Amino acid sequence: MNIFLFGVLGSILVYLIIGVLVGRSVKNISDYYVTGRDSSTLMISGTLFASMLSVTGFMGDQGFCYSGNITNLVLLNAFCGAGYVFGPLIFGRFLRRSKCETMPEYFGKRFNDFRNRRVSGIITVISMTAYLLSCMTGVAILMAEMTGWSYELWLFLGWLCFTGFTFYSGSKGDVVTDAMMCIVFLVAALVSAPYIFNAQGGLGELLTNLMNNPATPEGLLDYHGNLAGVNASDNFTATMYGVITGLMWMITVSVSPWQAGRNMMARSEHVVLRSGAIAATLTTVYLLFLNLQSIAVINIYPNMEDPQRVLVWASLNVLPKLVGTLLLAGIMAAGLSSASTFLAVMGFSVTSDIVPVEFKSEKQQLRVSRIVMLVVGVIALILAYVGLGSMRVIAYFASTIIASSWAVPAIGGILTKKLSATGARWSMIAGFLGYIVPKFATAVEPFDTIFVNFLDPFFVGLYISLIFAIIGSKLHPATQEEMDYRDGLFVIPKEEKVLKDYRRDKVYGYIMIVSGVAVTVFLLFGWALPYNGFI
Amino acid sequence: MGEIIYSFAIGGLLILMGILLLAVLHKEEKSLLREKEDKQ
Repeated sequence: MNIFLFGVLGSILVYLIIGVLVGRSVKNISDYYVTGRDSSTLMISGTLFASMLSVTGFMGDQGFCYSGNITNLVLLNAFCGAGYVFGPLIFGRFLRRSKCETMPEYFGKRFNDFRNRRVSGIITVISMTAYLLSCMTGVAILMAEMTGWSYELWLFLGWLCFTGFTFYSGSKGDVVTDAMMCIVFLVAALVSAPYIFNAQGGLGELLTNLMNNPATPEGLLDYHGNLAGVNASDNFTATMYGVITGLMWMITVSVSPWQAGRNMMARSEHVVLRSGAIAATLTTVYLLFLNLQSIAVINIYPNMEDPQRVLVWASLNVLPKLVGTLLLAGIMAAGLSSASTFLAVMGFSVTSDIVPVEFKSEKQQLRVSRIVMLVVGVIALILAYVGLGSMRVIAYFASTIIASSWAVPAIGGILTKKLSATGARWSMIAGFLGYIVPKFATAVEPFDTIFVNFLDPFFVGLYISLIFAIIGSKLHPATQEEMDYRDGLFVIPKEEKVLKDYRRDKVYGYIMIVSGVAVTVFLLFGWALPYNGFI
Repeated sequence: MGEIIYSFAIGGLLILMGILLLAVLHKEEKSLLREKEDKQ
């Protein structure tokens, strides 16, 4: 057994053991669903960032950078990061105040109608299943290629790891292992950086080397990136790719259950705001740092056949074996952490959001929740084995579709008291269908050129969702109960009114400002000014 | 020139979000202080 395989298998075992050990402290439903609402800033920021960054973040995205589109991706990430601050302020903190255990439960309570809970529960299950399958398939393909072991075996090993602790420990196991996995890939990228940069002459020489390298992809060093890489014909359209996709992800991290839902587990609203600030900073700063490593490889191994394997190649060929193992374990951890979160979110919704069930006791509810989680996990494994995860259509239902469907009822439900149960329910269904129908249409001409930019299926879903929210609320206006519930969400809980906490929160705001200044100075003096010949 | 504007935009988004967070916190802190003063 080589050191890479040993390291990866060892890390799976560690996650499994710790995840299961954490499960011993699960005493009630609140512990299982929302970690007893006691998660710290480290845990929440870790799970937010780890759930967002799946295998795609270390492979597809890095291949995108290597192929000439680093500037598009960094712009996208900057907008996505902004969602971690914007989201909690306009939705996340109110969601936590509801004291609900799942987001569909919140929609049911906010609009005083179980049908809203059921509709959002069904949407959760469909989209999370799709995302989970894509994620499981990604991890298994990567591991099979790297180790020579079969794809089917890795599908099972990956599944065993995240299902093993998620079914037993619920959100507690999920959040703790997510935070651990986040630390693993953060450390891995920090340790690997000097080796990769030095292999091409050091970070200080990166720009000069790329400017002098004939193999550097066209547009890599320009603000608009490689036009062909984003199917653009001019600089403006190429830049807009980053802005539009970034806005999509900004809304996604603000309202989706696998991101905004994490706020329900926070110890306090202050933890929600602090975690958001950390996740925002990591999304902009850390991912920029990671992307720079990928483009540094252009100076070591240009014209790679499969650019998305750029960091895997660096792990195996540039880094010392131990560091390479750490980076590979980090890439796998990114995939597993997302998978465990998707399974948990899906399992909770299947148990409680679709069919109203009266449990005799909390103990019985906990037992049933665990059984359902295991059954859901087994079904996901079977679906992955029959090849559903690698189907292109499945990817349509993953990631941003839920945000297209939920953005209006989630944010609108806070911003206005006029949004009614009918309006919210219709807007969810319309947003879901309004996304998926144009998405299917993009497979044929001329729709592939129509549904782009602000007519991307995501935004079409969003517009239709808004229209149906207005029509539904006009035809069936909001009741007094719905308005009263919303008013209650605006009352800051007594336990949150601690001056010391506000002062600590402010430190995180200042960290963001300092990080922003540092990023601008770094980009200006490390790239923009010398590239344009000003210094 | 586009690269210079881009550099300000990337860091600027982070700075903007930091200012937004500070503004909300500042407003709530002020109202909390006022609430305490009223009680006294």
